[in-house]
Amino acid sequence: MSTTIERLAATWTRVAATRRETADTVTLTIESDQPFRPGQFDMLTALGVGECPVSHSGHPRIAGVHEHTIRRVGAVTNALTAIKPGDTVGIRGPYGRGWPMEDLVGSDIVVIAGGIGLAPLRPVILALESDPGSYGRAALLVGARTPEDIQFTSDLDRWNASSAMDVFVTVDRADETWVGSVGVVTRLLDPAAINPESIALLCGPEIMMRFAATDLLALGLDPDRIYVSLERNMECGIGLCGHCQLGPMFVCWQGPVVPWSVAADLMRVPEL
Amino acid sequence: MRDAALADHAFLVGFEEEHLEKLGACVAAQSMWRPGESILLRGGVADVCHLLVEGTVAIEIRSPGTAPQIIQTLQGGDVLGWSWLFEPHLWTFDARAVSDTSAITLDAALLRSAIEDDPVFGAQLLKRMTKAIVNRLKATRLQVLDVYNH
Ligand SMILES: Cc1cc2nc3c(=O)[nH]c(=O)nc-3n(C[C@H](O)[C@H](O)[C@H](O)COP(=O)(O)OP(=O)(O)OC[C@H]3O[C@@H](n4cnc5c(N)ncnc54)[C@H](O)[C@@H]3O)c2cc1C
Repeated sequence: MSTTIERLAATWTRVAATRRETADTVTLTIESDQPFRPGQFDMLTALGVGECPVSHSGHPRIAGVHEHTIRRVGAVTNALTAIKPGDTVGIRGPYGRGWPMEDLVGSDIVVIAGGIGLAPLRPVILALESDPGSYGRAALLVGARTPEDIQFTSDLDRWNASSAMDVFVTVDRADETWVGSVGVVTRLLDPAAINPESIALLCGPEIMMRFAATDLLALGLDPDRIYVSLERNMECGIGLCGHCQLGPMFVCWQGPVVPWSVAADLMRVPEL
Repeated sequence: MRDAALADHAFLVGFEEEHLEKLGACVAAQSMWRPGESILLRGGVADVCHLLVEGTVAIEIRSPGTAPQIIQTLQGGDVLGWSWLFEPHLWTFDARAVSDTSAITLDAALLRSAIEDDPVFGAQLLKRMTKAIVNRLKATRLQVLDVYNH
């Protein structure tokens, strides 16, 4: 069994490729054989700057590489998004409890992603895409700030063209050249005609997840079948430091993915 | 007269037969717009209410020197326009068809007098209008918070 020190030690790994998704978001392809589950995250270190949690955004069944999609918001993410192919990055993980992949089998699925929240959900959608026969009807509802902020646009086009999935995209603001939807992501629930027996997977700003979960409950979805990813800031990733503690829960290892029946009360307390 | 298209419209689900007939008497036209066509212009007289049947409509705001910004898009099943309810009965935003769009167009003057004449009909219609307005207000608040930028 590994010691705590070993579990906190990063491995220095080569970045094989980088891909710009939007003006402030970059995907790193990192060489790694470590298996992971959709919804889990790694702690990534930018040399001399610091470490932060970043979800897996790549295909869970493609061995040898990890993908991590990072939005630049501060010092560490600034350094990570500036990394060039051939540079090294510190990596430890995977950590946390991911999306309930076994429960998705045979079920209709609604995926609701806001902003960078599409990144932690991408492994789920890639898994569905690889094996459409195992799942029911899937609907992907994506919200972004502006058309320029929409992530993974070529994936969205491909998923939209596939018969396995219906893709709906909306933005908060746009100029007259945009021919898509403008409005909050929950407005997409109507055109998506959600089956109340579906399992829902939500990731994005907490306020968006709260509104989406409320509307899904009103459509008749079971609170135990609505899952959210609570991306609270964290330090150790292994339930030691308490940085990510939300009430009685250590989000880093009891989450980040939790059912709405658990998340609702935690998200209602303002000081948490 | 009962209008089958009215009875099927999402905005009027559960509306009583008798009230559907009253509303049927307010139908002014079945309207169609091509992509890019203007539907409402800010400052214009709000003399109609459109129940969108198909298509996408952009609600826009313009300020001098900048390109029009889309605040929200509406789809079939939505109601377009509520300025006809309140004086001075002038549109406050522009609306433009983004795709081929059709609507059942109601005459605002007839609607207003039907609301005055039959308070039960009026209450039923205004409840639906208020729900649509509140939903749109809720959505706008979220958009203004700019949640994806934090
Ligand atoms: C489990 C988990 C998974 C994550 N996955 C991803 C991912 O796939 N891609 C990605 O880009 N980011 C992800 N994040 C968020 C990422 O870890 C933070 O953006 C990062 O820690 C910010 O560090 P920084 O030094 O760049 O900025 P800081 O200087 O630490 O922060 C800059 C600003 O960002 C805000 N911020 C920091 N962390 C978060 C957070 N978790 N949620 C919301 N706001 C935050 C701060 O309050 C501050 O306003 C994840 C976070 C968690 C907990």
